[in-house]
Amino acid sequence: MYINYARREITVKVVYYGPALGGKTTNLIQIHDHVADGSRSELISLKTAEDRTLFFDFLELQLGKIGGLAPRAQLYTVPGQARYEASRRLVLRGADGVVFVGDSQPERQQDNLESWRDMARHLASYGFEAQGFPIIVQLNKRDLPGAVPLEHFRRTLGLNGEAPIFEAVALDGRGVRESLRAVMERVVVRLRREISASAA
Amino acid sequence: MGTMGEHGDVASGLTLSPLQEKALEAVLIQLAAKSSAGLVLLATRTGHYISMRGTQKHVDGAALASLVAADLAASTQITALVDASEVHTMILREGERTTLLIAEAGPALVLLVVASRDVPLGWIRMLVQGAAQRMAEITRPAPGRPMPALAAVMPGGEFADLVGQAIDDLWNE
Ligand SMILES: Nc1nc2c(ncn2[C@@H]2O[C@H](COP(=O)(O)OP(=O)(O)O)[C@@H](O)[C@H]2O)c(=O)[nH]1
Ligand SMILES: [Mg+2]
Repeated sequence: MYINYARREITVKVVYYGPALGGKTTNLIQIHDHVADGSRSELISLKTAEDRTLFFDFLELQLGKIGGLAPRAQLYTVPGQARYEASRRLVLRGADGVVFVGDSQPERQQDNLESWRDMARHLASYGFEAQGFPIIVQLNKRDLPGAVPLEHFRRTLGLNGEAPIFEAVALDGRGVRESLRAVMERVVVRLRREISASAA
Repeated sequence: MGTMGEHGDVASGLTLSPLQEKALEAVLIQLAAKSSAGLVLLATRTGHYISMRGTQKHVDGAALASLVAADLAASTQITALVDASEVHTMILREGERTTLLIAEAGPALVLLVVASRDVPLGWIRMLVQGAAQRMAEITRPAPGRPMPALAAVMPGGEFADLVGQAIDDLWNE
């Protein structure tokens, strides 16, 4: 988070986390394509020749003026492949919220779980507990035949019954805006709570 | 009263007061002038863009800030893996026409300078070191935070709804 009083700017950082090929980069591409030039940065992708994320993707959104403030959202993805663990941890540094992008394919459920645990471990290493930290869970690739039932995915991650899961088909934009909106709302609620607490 | 930590909470994110911003801006302007830099950019260590100066136009500051912070973060980790006791504070790239320097400016900030190869490296390095040191001092944590002012301008309970609405408004189908 970065706050500039003179310009009334608040910039928060949201990280899209999840197993390799789950659709994190696709989420950012969709956001980039649905938001006009003047309200966003370029989409930056540090990727391999095979189009796999090497370090991160980056996109900044400018949300306009809200009650005299100019909030901005920086969106990052992590590289999902196991060998990029150190890079994932770096990208997660300073995160204010996370969208966890899970994969609906039955054979990817173990990868979902490993990535989820990996994320919890990195967040803990930065002093966050998964409880109370803004995390939105998106279950992507709902279009695929054989996609696992929502409840199956919920049990895989060990999520309780109330935790919302956003179903998505990132490839054609479905669920992308909803997930972004949900994570930003949570980030802001937490931000407000902390600012009030520190002002008291 | 800038503070910075690895956590994303308010207490440890970077908060710049108007005074601090002014002071940083002054250092940045001076650095750009003295180094004849095409570009000087200031960002937080977590990749938030702060400010940019120089003759080069049409640069996407937000995108650049994220890359500069990532470059420094990666180099710092490389150092830690190779020799944990070593401390590098600058990254240097020498091209055919330009010199590119990325430097830590205290625990909260990172500085990028892009200058012509005609400008002596030793001179740029000295300027960057000086600027980085002053910026670190400007953002050194001090007791007391200017949070009440922000709490006052921040819309009440509906702020989250307004942000959600803003995202919907940005969205073109
Ligand atoms: N069928 C289907 N494919 C998707 C969907 N979202 C992403 N993909 C594809 O899955 C692959 C990996 O997506 P990518 O965004 O690169 O995954 P990342 O590794 O998490 O960044 C690409 O070929 C995408 O086109 C989806 O909702 N449905
Ligand atoms: Mg990717």
